[in-house]
Amino acid sequence: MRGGQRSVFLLLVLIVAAIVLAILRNTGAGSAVEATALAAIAPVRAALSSASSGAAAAIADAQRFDEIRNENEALRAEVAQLRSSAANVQATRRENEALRAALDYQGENTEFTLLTAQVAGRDSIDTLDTLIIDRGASDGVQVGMAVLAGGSLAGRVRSVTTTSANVVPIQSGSSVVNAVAEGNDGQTDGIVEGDANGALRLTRIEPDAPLTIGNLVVTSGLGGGFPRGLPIGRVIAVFTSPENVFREAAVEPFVRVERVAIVQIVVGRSPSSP
Amino acid sequence: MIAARIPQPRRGWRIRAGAVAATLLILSLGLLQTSVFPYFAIAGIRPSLVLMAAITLATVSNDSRALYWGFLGGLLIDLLSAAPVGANTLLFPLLVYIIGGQGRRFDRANVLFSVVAGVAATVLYYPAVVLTLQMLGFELDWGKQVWERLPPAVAVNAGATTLLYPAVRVVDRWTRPQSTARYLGRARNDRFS
Repeated sequence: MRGGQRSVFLLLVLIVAAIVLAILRNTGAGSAVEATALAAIAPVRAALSSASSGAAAAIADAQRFDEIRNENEALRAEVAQLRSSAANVQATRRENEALRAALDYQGENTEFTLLTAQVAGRDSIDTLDTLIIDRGASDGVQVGMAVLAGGSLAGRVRSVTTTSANVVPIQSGSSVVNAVAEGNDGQTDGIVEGDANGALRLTRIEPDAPLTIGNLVVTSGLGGGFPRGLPIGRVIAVFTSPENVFREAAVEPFVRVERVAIVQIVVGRSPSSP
Repeated sequence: MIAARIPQPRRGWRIRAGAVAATLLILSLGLLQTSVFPYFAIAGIRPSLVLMAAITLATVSNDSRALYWGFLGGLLIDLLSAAPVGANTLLFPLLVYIIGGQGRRFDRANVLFSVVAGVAATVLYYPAVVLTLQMLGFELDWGKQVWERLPPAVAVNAGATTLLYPAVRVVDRWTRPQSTARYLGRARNDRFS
């Protein structure tokens, strides 16, 4: 058999093998092998991811050295000012309490049962911007569960293996979350959608809804997806167009998933919660 | 009778060692691609190290190992992705075959040719993977996922191919199956020189 013919034959064999593997995966026959293979490389992935995250943060800090120094000086001045004004501190505390009450969200997260996980890597395909975390079905993780970072919504579990899970970030183009913007004038229902640039948009806003810049955007709990009250971000711009009945708003997310290394999965409600 | 005294070449050992080395290289590149480069993405693009390695091998060698590399690499990328197994396992060998087939027209491999091949593979891969994922039920935006990502991806993968080229050449030389005729010729020369 000549070299060219052999290559064609080999290519056909490999194509058939790929199709067989795809069928085995879809029928669940190869899931044990897949889980074993992923579990074998999981420690290396987690270690590499952790080291890279730290290195990237260090490089970013080094690049922002001047900015950080200026920020540090500004913060020192601010701290001095705060110390000299007990009234300001009291006002800040009251504002903090009001925000917590508005969010119906406790800092200690006693309302939810949370499972901490480490980000073990990103999806191998650029166009799928999912995170891979080191917790899976054996830890109680299920498809659709909310994923938090720093107390704010970071994404949703898309798929689960025994030892790992894929998470779609809220900034992903395929992410859709029912949300509500809370302000002094009332609440505004909408849908938070991601886009490829990592920004968030609040869409489907009624024309007469009391939405203003600075409103806090949290999950609405509608649709049976996420619990109500998980913080998402803050409204930074509101758009109205004559050809669209609904308004839209740009939302600054509280979580930047590019730098997230540790996340928490909402695996359920605490037994003591209402 | 001379041939009877010449020791037999240990081709099997070389091929096995080569297969292990190639597997480790692909695995390492896959882990780098998914665990390290997400934190150092350029213009939001991570280099497709595994695909570029398979394509580079296809341009520097005329044998069918690049098809195996492509298959193995595609399978690894599928396992490390939310995409269904089979998408990249199918696409990588096809791209290797198409690009490598063009490469056979040229006598000598060089880094420039590998970079051009890497660029061509990137241009084919992005639309192909988005099309495949859409056929498998994923909702993806062609404008954002292909047309916006393709120009920076071409640049990033061209750079990655330039850096990968020396490493792939070394692994290629180390893992290339040695022909019996060449071995016997060298053994004769060694013996009678």
